Amino acid sequence: MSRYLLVKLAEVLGAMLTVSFIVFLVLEANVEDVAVKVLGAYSAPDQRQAWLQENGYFDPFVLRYLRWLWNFVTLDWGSSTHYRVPILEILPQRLAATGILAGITLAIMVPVALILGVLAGMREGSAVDRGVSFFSVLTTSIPEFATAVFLSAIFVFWLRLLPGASTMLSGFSVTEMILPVSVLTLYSAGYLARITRASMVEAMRSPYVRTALMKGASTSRIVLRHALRNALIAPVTVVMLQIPWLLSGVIVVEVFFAYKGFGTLLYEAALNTDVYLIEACAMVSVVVVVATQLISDVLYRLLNPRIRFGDEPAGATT
Amino acid sequence: MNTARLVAGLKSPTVVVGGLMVGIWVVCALFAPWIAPYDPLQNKAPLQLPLSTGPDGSFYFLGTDLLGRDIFSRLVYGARTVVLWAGLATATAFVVGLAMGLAAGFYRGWVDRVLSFVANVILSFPVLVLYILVIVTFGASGINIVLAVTFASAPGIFRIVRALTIDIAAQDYVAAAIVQGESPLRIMAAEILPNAAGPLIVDACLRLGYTTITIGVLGFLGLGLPPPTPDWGGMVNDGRPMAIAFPHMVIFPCIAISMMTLGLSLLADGIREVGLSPVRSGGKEA
Amino acid sequence: MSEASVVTVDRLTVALPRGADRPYAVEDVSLEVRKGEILCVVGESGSGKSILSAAVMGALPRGLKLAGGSVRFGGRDLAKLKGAELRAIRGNEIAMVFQDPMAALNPAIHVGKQVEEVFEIHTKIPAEERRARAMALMEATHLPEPARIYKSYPHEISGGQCQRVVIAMALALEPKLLIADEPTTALDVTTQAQILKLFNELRSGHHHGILFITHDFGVVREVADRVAVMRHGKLVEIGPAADVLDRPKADYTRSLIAAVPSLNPPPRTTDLSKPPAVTCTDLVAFYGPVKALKEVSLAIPQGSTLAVVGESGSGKSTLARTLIRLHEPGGGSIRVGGVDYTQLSGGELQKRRRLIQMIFQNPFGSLNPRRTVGDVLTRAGVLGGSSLQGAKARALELLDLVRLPREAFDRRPENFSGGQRQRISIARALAMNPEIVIADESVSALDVSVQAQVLDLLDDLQKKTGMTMLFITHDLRVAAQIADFIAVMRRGEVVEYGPARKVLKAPEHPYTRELVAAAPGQHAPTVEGAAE
Repeated sequence: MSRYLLVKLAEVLGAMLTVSFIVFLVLEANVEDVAVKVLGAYSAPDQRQAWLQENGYFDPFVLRYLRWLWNFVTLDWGSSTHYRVPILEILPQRLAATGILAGITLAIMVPVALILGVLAGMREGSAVDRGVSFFSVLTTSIPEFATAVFLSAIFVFWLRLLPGASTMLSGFSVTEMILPVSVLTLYSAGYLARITRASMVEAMRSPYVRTALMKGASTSRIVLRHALRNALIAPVTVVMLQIPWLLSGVIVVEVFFAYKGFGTLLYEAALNTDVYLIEACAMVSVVVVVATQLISDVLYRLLNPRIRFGDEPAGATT
Repeated sequence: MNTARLVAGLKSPTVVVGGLMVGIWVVCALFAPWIAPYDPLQNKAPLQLPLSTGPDGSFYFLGTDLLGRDIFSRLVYGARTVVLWAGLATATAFVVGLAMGLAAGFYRGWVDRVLSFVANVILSFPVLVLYILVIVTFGASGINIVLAVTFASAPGIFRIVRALTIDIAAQDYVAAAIVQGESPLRIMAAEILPNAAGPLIVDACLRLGYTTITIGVLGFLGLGLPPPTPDWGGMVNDGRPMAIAFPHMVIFPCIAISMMTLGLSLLADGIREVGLSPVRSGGKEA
Repeated sequence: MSEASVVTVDRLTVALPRGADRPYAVEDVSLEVRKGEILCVVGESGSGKSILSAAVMGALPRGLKLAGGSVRFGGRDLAKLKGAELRAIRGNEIAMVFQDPMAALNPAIHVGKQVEEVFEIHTKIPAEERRARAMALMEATHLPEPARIYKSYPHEISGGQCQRVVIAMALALEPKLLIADEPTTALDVTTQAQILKLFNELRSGHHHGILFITHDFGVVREVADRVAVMRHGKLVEIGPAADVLDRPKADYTRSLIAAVPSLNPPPRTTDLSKPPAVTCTDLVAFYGPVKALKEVSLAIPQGSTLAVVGESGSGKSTLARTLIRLHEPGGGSIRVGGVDYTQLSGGELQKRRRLIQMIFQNPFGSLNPRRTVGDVLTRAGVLGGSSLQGAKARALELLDLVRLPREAFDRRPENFSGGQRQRISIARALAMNPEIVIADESVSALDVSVQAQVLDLLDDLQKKTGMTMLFITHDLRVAAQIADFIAVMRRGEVVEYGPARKVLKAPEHPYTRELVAAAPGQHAPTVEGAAE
């Protein structure tokens, strides 16, 4: 297990280093550009030169990259040029706000999707199955901003039940949370339900379920004792992989409902070409994605008795 | 694809409904000048409601936007933007993903390790962050969107093609071709690719849907094609400030894009089902 | 209907869905299983034997419908029972043993628990005693270290041990009827012999009636008291084993039994004095760190056949794949056609591939479903060095040679049966004019009558073309029928190598002796109160 973890960690670190290099390359390869972005379009050329000189921008690229990486690792992330504050003063609280949004979404979405998927997969081809399948195709196909528009049209414009924005200006508000959470839940539940269904169908078709049937086991015993355990391995790992996906949806939803989270921060940073803030946000999101991938992988191995740590997943020989 | 399969496809309601939903917009894209009643860029009468007649006597089926442009005409021309750029972006992503996946799956070894690592690195970005990074740095244009989509979705296609290739390459007919001294390129083209075509067509439909969503999302975030190009996502973005009072400006573009993406999903589902039905060749003897 | 009858199948008919190649999967079949006997139902693929066993269990696959007849069991008609009633009988009064034991067990639950579950479902026995009884059952089926195996997952024990667990599970509540559907087909021959011994022990206990489904007449001879032969869903013949096996009434039975390969090698006329077509010396191959081939040395005289025999994991397929360079050799040499085949690489290897050709195991995986037969054969000819015109003409000749109609040229593989596909594969291999043809388990996926035809064809082709053949098989009986020489492999090593007759009749290595003894069909069941 430890050997496997070490190899995996090395892989993950390698990927993260490469990604950080790409981020740095894309945003800071052209030093003139950086000066314009930091000092503004109306700064004088010699002013920019002086600033570049002062901040070590004429050093070799690799040296600048290593210095930048070191600063990132030591949590010296610089200041936002747009907000005029140190990045570490705004980013954590925005991340926490997004954490709350994503946390509530997962808490609702995961049980709903798993239950729907299991019910559908239990009886392949039944009315429940077809209903769930249609629901998941519908919700996953519609872009999240369209879902947001439709839900707002119904609940804000027409029924006037809910607020159209979630700025949380006067503290945390449950009613303001309802729409963003609903949009994210609808958007992500369909996919998880689909995976769960497929996994459940496969388990219900397996020879060991037939064995249980021939032992005289009841339907509930077959589902709960035999099928479910094997069927949940795939969806549980998928939940972790969905977190990065959710992160993309979060940006759109936060922007739509003006929710002050990590997504809007990244978005505003991008619109204002706030170089250091974009870099920080990009790196944070990469860390989140890589961490969830790692957890998902470890989880898969823990849940599946057929794979011992150190084996390749597809290790079966004939 | 043989005729029996085609007939089965036309009998499947999923395929027909999905095909119609996509087909309507493809027709709009092809014949936009003849279908759209007005110039999509012309300022006619601002903020007309749907099914209303303007001061100059023009009828507005879906109303007009803030700048007085006819929404229906903009939707019809917007279909062009989507079909063109989503199609192009998906196609280039497929070419790249296909080439990488075939090579990795067939050769394995270090080729596979290098390509898989590259794919994993790109997949460590949340997709949207990647798009934002690319568009912010290189600017918003059709070509940049194509490049960004290719960069971001080729790894996903790569993974599917690689898995399919590994699967098919393990078949004895591929071993037979190797043993006959067939060249690797010809093996990939004649033995592997035709047998991977079914799942890849399904995946292409789904990807086209994702790309449509991506272009829509970028437009919605104001990072899409530069104005005044009619673009569904951009129309939602333009109408958003006034959406509470005039929801028709955002609802119709949302319906258009949802129709397109849902249609593509249904098409993918339908094709998959038809492909799995008993028309399929080569079962196992019990 | 005798008093000892456990289950009586009376004029049972099962309908296939519309559009199938015949209206009924099982048609008008009547038979009974008596207490203390093993009734073998034997037939080729598509004979309906497995559907029959499913119908007796009341578990017909989706799409199949009972169209008439009854299955009487203890005063009830199993065909009419539903839900709870059926559940009360399954695992309790009727139990089942499956073909693929590894897949039949839940991968995520300890095997001991799975045996215990039968008590949990049908009885109120307390947990402590359940465990003790499960353990006793596992001991009774001769599982080594039952305590350790109790706490193992299926993937942690061997296939044979899995089958013993499944049998222990089936015996838990002393069922009146035990149904075994091809219980030894997925197992190695020595393991098969042990499991068959276990079945014979069960019969001697007199507690159960056993319905034993199989395709293998060798297995039938080892265990059957009575035999029922099925074909196309109908019962062809039923009677005491001695009668059906040695004095069959039906022509079909006679032809089936005649097709079963025997361990006695027929006389062969091959000239064995020719120089070797292929010589491999100290051939080594690795799978990761595992040495799958340990210094294997063999030589095959031109125009003769060497059969390599071994169980799963013996390295026989690795030998084939290494010889043909599908797997990279880790050392040693292969001399063929005047070159060292191991030293070739890149374009040079591609050009010389023609020298060694292969006929693969799975007839459904060895032909590209997208290409026509003519296209495949012509391309092989072109790669072998012919002109396009020449290759086309040769392809048609090859179709004649493998006894397929010339119309096959324009068809795709989906239009052909398993046996026909193997003929196409043979033609493809011959299209390149190879020095040596390797047949890797090329007849093991085929029904016995088709198998006999393909073996016959290979023999005939060898006489006509003088080809040299390396024949890989797990079945000593098949080897006996086709080989001039036999090499026995075990754990990557050749343990015995010599003329076929000598290896079979006077084996020197203890493992060869074990294999020869395990080949099914040599001994009738240890008769002890068998019916009749």
